[in-house]
Amino acid sequence: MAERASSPTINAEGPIGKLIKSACLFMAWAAGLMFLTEMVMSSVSVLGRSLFGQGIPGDYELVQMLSAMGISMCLPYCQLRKGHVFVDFFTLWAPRRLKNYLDAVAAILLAACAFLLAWRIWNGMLEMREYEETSMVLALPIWWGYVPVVPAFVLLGLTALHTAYQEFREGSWS
Amino acid sequence: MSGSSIALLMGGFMMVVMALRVPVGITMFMTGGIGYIWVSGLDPFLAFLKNAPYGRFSLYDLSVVPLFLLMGQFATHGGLSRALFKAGNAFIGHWRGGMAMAGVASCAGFGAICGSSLATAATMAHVVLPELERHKYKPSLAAGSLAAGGTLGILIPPSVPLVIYGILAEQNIAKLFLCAFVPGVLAALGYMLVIAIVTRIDPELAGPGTAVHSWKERIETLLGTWPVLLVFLVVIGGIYGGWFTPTEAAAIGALATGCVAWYSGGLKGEGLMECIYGAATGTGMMFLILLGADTLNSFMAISQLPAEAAKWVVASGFGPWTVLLSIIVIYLLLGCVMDSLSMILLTVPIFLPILLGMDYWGLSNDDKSIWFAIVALVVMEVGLITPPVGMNVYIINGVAKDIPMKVIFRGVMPFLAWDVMRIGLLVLFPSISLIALRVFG
Repeated sequence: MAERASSPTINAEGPIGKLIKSACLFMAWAAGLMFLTEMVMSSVSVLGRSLFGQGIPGDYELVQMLSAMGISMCLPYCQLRKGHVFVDFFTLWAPRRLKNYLDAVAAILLAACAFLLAWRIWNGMLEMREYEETSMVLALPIWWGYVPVVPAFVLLGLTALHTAYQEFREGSWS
Repeated sequence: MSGSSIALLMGGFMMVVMALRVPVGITMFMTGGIGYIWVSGLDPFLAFLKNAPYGRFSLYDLSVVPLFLLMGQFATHGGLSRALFKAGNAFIGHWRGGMAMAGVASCAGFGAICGSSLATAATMAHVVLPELERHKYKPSLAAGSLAAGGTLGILIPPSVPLVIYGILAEQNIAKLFLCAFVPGVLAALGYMLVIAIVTRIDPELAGPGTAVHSWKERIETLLGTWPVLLVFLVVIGGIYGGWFTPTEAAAIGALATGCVAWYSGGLKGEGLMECIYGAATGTGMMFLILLGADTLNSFMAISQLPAEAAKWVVASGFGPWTVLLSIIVIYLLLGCVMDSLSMILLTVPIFLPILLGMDYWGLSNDDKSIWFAIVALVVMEVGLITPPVGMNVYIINGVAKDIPMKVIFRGVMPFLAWDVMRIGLLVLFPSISLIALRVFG
């Protein structure tokens, strides 16, 4: 069994937890806005193409950019809801406390990967800006698409660290 | 050490880390990362990370995934699951076991607007289980039929795993969707036949028959499901006719279901935000895995393991059927611990080259890879309802806490028997999977 059927309720405690929670909610909301924009834009483009023989110019590249931004902003919220898939088949026997500690370690690993990615993507963005790479039709700078991706990965890392702290505390209490 | 031995060693490392509750996506990412550094050095890996995530997330073909998820959320909030069940019930509810059959049929219908089996099982269980209970259906049949029916979600297009398979195997997603349709309908009809048989053997399983509905009622309830029909026609017809891309079809589908949800009041208050948050959780979950798999597969490619494994299998003299059977067994075992998305991402880059190097009924490579997609998907579905851990069974148990797991697993058994037969049929008769392509292609 790997997928979580329903995510547990969010329990953010303390001022830091509350701050992280609001940031995750905001990013998920912004991601939803991107997807809704894609939805309306693609539909209008199809309609325009079939009725007037002309879609929205550059709609594919706009979808690509919006998707990339939206998808990355979903990652921290998913972590907040503990929605990232893991395999619990081999630890079903384990006492609650051991599971808490394992989950804390897993969250720290996740955070480390997220910070590594944030750092690399930041460099990638600087490069894109330097080389002035643009999209095909609208000539939009590609690095614009990178802008929300970096904070999304930083927030993913912070959220995971908060999870690790919670799991660790739960483990030592029980 | 050769690239392949490093890859095998890292494969072992990955299994251990995964078993220790590290998220699947992160496990794949770490395995791929360490292996990449081992084979090519640190700097190439750091350079790879600069643009790989954005490249992956901005892939046009993948933009369909969040839109499918949004469509599924809207459909749930718009009460489409209820409309589907009502329509099914109006037509066949009066048959013996008919309400359970209507439940399966509405699962199939919901699968046509939702790309996930778990979501289909959860949504339909909320609607159908209470009705079945009210009409005195035995819990084992009620829960079993819904757990099995839920697995139709990923087979009946649109299907997120098929999108991912299409990208990995460089196959046309529209073709894959088209080919999944016949096996999906076959599965649904088979499940209904299973209900007919078990209720003949033990009439106590089903409740007393209900009154026959008039044709006026039938047409009215059928009209209530128009968004499902629209979405299905748009997704299949539109994509295949070449009028628009899968992403555009998903956008139109999401807009249509969104309008229905808005009209029916499902988006009032917190409704819209719930849809967005639901889609965000699903998107985050899938794309973390995709990101990890991307890293892992880049490492696998530079390690040469897939190519060497394919060469080794061909040279070893195993017959094509032994190989296919072993792959099916591996999927059944993996299905107990892993979700279908991770399984596809993990295995297809290795298994597909092996299969393409062998001869099955003289099929062309394109046909072979479509046929394998369908077979693999069906085998993975079976993993959702096999003991000891079937995800769909957990979901049904979560919705109806009063039905013990043991009872659900017992109820699932007859359906599982049909699943095994179905895998046999799909393997022996590739034309079941390919017929739609021949007719419309």
